[in-house]
Amino acid sequence: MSAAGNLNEQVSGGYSLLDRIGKKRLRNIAIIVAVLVVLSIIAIANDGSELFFQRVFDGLNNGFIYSAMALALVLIYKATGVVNFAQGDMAMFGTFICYVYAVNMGIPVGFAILLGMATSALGAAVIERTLIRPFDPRNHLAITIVTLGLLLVLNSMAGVIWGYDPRAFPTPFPNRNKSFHLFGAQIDYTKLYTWITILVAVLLVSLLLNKTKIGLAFRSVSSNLESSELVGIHVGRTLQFGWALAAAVGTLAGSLIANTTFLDPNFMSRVLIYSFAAATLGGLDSLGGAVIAGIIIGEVETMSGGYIAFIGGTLAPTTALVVIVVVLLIRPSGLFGSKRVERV
Amino acid sequence: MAFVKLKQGTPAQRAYAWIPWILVGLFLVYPLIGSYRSGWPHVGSIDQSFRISQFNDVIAYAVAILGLNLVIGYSGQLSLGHSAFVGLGAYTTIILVADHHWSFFATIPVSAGLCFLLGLIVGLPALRIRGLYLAIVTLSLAFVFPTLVLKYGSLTGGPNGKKPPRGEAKMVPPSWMPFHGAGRLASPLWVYAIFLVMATIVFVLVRNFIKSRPGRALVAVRDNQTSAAVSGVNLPIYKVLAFGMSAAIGGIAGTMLMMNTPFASDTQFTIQLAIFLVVGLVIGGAGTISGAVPGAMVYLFVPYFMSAWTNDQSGMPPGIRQATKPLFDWLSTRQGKGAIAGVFFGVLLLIAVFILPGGIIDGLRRLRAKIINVAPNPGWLRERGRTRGVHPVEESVDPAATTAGPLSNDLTTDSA
Amino acid sequence: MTATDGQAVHESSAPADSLLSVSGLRASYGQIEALHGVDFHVRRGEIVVVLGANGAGKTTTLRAVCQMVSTKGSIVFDGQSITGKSTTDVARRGVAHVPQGRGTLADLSVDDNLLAGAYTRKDREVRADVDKWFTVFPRLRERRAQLAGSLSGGEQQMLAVARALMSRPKMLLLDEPSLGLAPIIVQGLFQRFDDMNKADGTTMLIVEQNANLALDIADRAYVLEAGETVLTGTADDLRHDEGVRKAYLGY
Repeated sequence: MSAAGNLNEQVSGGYSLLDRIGKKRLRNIAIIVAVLVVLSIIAIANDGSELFFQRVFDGLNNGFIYSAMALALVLIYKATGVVNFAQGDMAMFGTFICYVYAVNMGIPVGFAILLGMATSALGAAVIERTLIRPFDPRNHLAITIVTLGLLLVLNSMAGVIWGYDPRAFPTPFPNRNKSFHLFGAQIDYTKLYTWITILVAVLLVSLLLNKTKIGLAFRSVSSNLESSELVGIHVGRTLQFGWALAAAVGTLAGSLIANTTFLDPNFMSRVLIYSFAAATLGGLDSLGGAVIAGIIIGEVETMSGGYIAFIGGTLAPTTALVVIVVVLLIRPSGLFGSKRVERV
Repeated sequence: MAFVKLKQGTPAQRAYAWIPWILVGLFLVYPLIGSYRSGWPHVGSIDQSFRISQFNDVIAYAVAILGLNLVIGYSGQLSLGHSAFVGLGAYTTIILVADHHWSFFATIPVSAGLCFLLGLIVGLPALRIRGLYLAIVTLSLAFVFPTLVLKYGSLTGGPNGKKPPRGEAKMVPPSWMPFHGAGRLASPLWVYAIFLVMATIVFVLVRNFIKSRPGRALVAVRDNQTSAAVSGVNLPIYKVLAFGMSAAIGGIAGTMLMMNTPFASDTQFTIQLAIFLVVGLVIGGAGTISGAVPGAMVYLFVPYFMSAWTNDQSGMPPGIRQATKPLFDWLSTRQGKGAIAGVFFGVLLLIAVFILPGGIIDGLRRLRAKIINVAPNPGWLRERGRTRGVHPVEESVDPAATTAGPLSNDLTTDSA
Repeated sequence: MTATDGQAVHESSAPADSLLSVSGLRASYGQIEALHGVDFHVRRGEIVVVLGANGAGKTTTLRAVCQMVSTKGSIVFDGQSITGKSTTDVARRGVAHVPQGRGTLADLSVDDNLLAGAYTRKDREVRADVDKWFTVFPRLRERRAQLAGSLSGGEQQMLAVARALMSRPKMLLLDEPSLGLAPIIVQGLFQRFDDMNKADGTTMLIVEQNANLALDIADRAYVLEAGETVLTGTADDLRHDEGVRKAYLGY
């Protein structure tokens, strides 16, 4: 895929989806899809279609969560150029706050989660104002180290306050233990509602970013900070909004996954690694890419874990690492990221 | 402002430059001479062999942090995977020693070599691209390492850890060492002596790399990204090499940890270690060679004292004990109170980044500069530069001389 | 103001109806001072041009007005001092700056670029203004849904100007609008500037290397050299100045 070829397509001014993706890339995607179809047919032929679809749907469980967390990561990265390593622990802390609302204070779970999201958004806004804004925005290394410090503080505080015994997190959804069948696979209602919730959240974020004024400011700052100042946008407040939004999304993701695993201070760390893989695969500055890549990673995790015995459950994180490395070797801008990655 | 002013290059200043090193050297060598003689001051108030063993760990971690510094402090890239390299070195050593009866020394090149290779493999994709990709890759690496240890339990001992059979692989000082007969102190002191030598070698090697042409090119790129294309050195290769070196040094540190305490388990080499090492680096002073030492001391002693004090505050200095009493009272009711060290580290890191970005070493240097000011002497620098290949700074061209003035300026114009 | 032999020209005081008056302006990039005490003013409704060679400090002057570099000296806009304010604050006071290189928001559509330009406005006429600028620049209307980064240089310049004007600014700062554009496009562009100024009375401060076109539409001009003003006068006077002709007009 020559850079010159792509550039030509861009400069000539075509703006349909086809032109945006690029003919060469479309051909690559088609090849990958064809390969996947062939693999799927082989899998079905060997182990039956029920198992296949079961694994497909299981992959969606984690996949959607990775999408949500990757979305939060990309939100902050797009706007600030900083990778927020504390994202997982912010989500974890937020989920604990939801737990306090729901279990300690008896608020209905659904409201508790919304309240927890609002609380984390507020907390993130404070964090941005006090810990992030004092730095020169171009000093990415220093700000990233600040997020490391934040990670430590949040993770350890959670350990001190709530201890390391796993807790059960209540589900906000009805039909707790019921499931239904689709293509022979069994799907819990809880999981279905989780997918729907995350899809709705992603949609809302998309609307927020594309149709509101603050969303315009956010996209403007992500594109060109200096020009944004020149049109009178308050950059600091816009970034604050980005942090708050990312925190809310993270807390939502944490709350939704907490009722399938248990809640303890380290329950998001595995998710975070996969979310990094998803963000890298999707392209660190592509919001849509993060969402799609999250699903891909979730499917890769489940499918490779299920069908390739050698990998199993314990080597799955290694698979994520391999994905990251391979993507960086072949196509650093990910599937959907802009080609502005600079080579040293 | 300064009490004493010294001019660079004078005998007084050169003596002054050597003094800290001499003092530090004396301080470091003391335990080997005096800690076991009756009547001489002891090292620490409790069991000396335990203290010496702690110091040994500090040295090992200082080496690890020094390796990390090559990447973060001098290349300016964030690496969060150092725990994997330390762990790989440690496990390489312990497996070779326990299962194959190698001597510890023989494992050093193997662990360094393996880690160097792993560093190359990991660094190659990530370092070609500017940005935080290295951080992401190394974070994943750090995460993956313990899972691999657990997966291959037959080799690594799994969750139970690995150690050599009883009585084997002991570090015993040879009879010509003065502390040979010092009982329980003999073994840790021998390790201490070896570590001093090893650490000095690594420090000198790193220092020479920093001062060399590729090393200085790395620093130049770190400070000014756009100069990447300008330096004549093949930068991506050197970045990858530097990363490989830092990994190898991490591996050596892992070997050293095993020499001190021959036991390895998966919980020792987690992401937490990787992050704590970064914290230690920043607090000690990123971008400085000597920063690794205070960094390692902070890394080891802060959790040690925090956990000791959490359980029993009697060892604390009186004023601090009063002030922190409410905190410890509340903590004693919490099950997870051990994690308070992590909170403290996080806060320390934030304080360091905000107030003292250059770390403790930078703070000490500034303090020292307030007392003794060294005035630069370009003439002397130039002399030195000629013998060392450092190019002296050119005097800047007078800007007025470069402007052309084509305007005749004879006309009078109406006032605007 | 009288021009003197190679010496900097200073203004003792600016006229009372100045929209922007700058005196003793020093600007630095870190340790390096780029402007060494510049004076100029712009009256309401005027087009003032700043000429000078590369490195003379023209772009720095505009950036200094917008407080994008550290400045010393006095900058008074619309009766209020703006030294020490943030760039965002200056923009909100009605200064619209079209930076060198256009500064388009490349990842946003043409439409969104214009809406971003109107960010500080709270009235209901934003959409109408967007249509108005599409009428002035029909090429932009054709490409309204396209990503701004995929536009040609000339189109991006038009977009940048339209974006700046969406905020209905009191003053427009233009940094080398002709840079990198084909001559015929530049001619059209400057014609538009002239029209805007005549029709809407938009005050403009234009920094340019292309002295010919700039002096054609300007009311007054300053010449900058090595961080100081060395010449000033009406556009006509400068057109006929021997030195200016030789150095900047090519004959």
